[in-house]
Amino acid sequence: MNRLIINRILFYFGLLLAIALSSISQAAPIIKIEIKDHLFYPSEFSVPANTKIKLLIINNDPTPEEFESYELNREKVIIGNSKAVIFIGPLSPGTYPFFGEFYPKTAQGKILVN
Amino acid sequence: MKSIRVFLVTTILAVVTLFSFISALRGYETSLEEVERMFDSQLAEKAKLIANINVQSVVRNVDSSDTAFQVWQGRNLIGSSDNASQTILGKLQPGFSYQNFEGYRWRTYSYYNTINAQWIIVAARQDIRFSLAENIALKAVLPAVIGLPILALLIWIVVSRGLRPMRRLAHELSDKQADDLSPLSIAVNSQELAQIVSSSNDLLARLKSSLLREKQFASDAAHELRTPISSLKVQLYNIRQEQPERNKEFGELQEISQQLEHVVEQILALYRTSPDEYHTRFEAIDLTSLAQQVIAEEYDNYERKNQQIEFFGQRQLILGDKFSLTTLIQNLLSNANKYTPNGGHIIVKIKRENDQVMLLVEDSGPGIPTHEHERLFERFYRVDGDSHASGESGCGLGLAIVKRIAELYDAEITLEPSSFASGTAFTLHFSAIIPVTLDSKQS
Amino acid sequence: MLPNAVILILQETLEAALLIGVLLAVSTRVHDSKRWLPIALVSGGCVAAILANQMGIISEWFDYAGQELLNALFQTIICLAIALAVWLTATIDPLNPQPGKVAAFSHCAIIIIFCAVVREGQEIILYLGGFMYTENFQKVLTGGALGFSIGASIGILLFYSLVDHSGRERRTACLVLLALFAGNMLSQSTLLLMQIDWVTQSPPIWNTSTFVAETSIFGQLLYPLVGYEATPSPIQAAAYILGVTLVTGANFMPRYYPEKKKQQVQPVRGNDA
Repeated sequence: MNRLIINRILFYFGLLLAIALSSISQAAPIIKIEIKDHLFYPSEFSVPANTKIKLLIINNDPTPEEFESYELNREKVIIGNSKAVIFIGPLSPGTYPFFGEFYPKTAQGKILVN
Repeated sequence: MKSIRVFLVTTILAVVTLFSFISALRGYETSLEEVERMFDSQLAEKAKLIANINVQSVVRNVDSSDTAFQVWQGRNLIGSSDNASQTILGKLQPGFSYQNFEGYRWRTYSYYNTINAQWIIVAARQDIRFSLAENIALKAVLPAVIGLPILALLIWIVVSRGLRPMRRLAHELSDKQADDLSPLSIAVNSQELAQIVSSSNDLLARLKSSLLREKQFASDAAHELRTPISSLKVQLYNIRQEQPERNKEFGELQEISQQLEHVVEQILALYRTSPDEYHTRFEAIDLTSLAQQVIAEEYDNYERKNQQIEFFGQRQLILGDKFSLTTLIQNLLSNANKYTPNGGHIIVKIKRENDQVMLLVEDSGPGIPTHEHERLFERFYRVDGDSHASGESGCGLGLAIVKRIAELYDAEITLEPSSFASGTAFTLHFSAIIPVTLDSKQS
Repeated sequence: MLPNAVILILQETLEAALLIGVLLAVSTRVHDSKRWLPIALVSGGCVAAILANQMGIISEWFDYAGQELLNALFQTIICLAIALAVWLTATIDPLNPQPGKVAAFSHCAIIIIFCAVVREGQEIILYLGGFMYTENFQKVLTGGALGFSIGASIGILLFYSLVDHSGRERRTACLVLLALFAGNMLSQSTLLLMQIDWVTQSPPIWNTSTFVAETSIFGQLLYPLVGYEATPSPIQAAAYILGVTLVTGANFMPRYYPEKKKQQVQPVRGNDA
């Protein structure tokens, strides 16, 4: 009896996941952010509202950095001398600050959505 | 099992850590803010200073590259430090802000000189400023972090010391012999433990008196039963003589009364053997001749079950009393006799082992499972209860008496599988008497 | 550097300390050996070090989605293992624990702590590793020590306050904490899938950042404890609720569908007896 119900729950969970995954990613505009000496370049840029954006973050420092934004609900470690991809949006207009969690005093920036 | 010491140390440490570290962090933050404010006011002073000296060209930065400045008149850069670029460093809004240039993040201050309508922008490298500020603030935190292990050690020592009387009490309690009902002798000077000690001493005293009563009652009752049982036996004997036609029934009755008498004798033997009475009457006894005597007395029993009994041993003297030792050997042998099947084998061995005399009784019976060993010597305990495969009746007192007597002699009883295919070997070690004269006689 | 190190390591420690504290408190009911704790900690630490070392390669998997997928996998496993552990504790008879179920519980505990330590550990190792050989290392280490001690202290106090309560209250508290944690894990895993665009992002259903900002100390503590998010998307919220339901369901299901006891068939007596 128990196993049956657990199986059913697992089945629905899988179904939900499959539906969620099936939304194929459309080609999103790419924005390149570079990290150098624990600074973001550009540290401020605008993106259109209600659009999915692909952030390509290139870490030129030898040390890892963590891209983090509470407003965007994003968090990702980018190890030294490598690149990473983060999708954001669609976003409503506003200002979305982001920072490098490992070097937050210098690595700061914001995204202006309009 | 929870340890009070671990609980106290860890929770006290956790609470102390939480409070001291969070307050250290607050201290760190406020000192950081303080230092940054100081730096900011320095930056503003610098801007005003530059406004006053009225720079008109590129000025070499004398000692540091961590500050830069520009002087703007309208859209013209009329003066700057040599490390400042040609583009505007900060915002043309009075006040502080952050800017990224030259590969660094800078704290900037823009100052508008109303007299000559000039903008003075001063910038200081944020990473250097922050590093300096943090070094100062860190000094406020470091003692708390370094002090923590020391604090932990101190708490550990204090708690351990505080719990020491409790450990001593636990030690004393666990060291107590099973039959030692004397009051605890530990001196306590803490309120909490004094209560425990006095309560346990009360309990021990009550236990002692109730045990004494039980002993007294059992031995009195057994004693009182002796007379009626012997008159019962006499009466039974007479009736049997008078009514030979019911010989069988009366024979059985006589056997039952025999058993009854045996139980009573055993109970008496059990309670008569109290330590203080006995040691005074100890004399040198030859264990071998005593064992031979017992075997000879009981020989009928072995013959009846067609058992083969062997004895090995030489004269071995121990200090003891004849009655208790006879009872001991009797019980061990009757135990072997009872639980060894017809045609079985019993070996009795007495041997000198260094300064001890070893008594071994082994049989080819069914053996005793290890988990029963513990309970075997309890009073009225029988392996498998009354449904023992041997079909022998017994009261379950025999081995309890053996143990009791062995305790009187400080003799250790060990139980092992016998050297036969199955069966049990009981071994007892008594301390031997080592007088020189006897040794020479032996050799 | 320092407050940042404190917060980063505190958050990671707190998550692990919370799990360990609650699982230890739960396991006092199960009467298992506590051997799973050192096993999970050591093996998790080792695997975390390996993953941190190989993070460059892992990140590139699935078109730069490897890191998120791996973490989402760990989080989902944690959620499911919590549900299983809760189901086991709900069915284990504390007076007469079935050895099979106790062993299964220990395995669940190993999986949960292992996954948590791997997840937290790799971030800590990457973070501290980045500062090694720089002048800031001492500051970061000091901050890390502060954060770790605060997190561990909260864990210890949580454990003892849970153990201090008997029976029902303790079980309810443990259940609530585990359910919220499972919800948190599942919701975070959907967030990671959104980050790599495997799940479509939708606008947040609410914004509570004006009440409790995620940047505030309270928000920073709530995040690892109950998975506080100021602007969650509907899918995240749904995943959270799913995780919570899964665990509470696992706890209450045995009550409504008790296991069928193997009934002993009474021999029928014949007339001739």
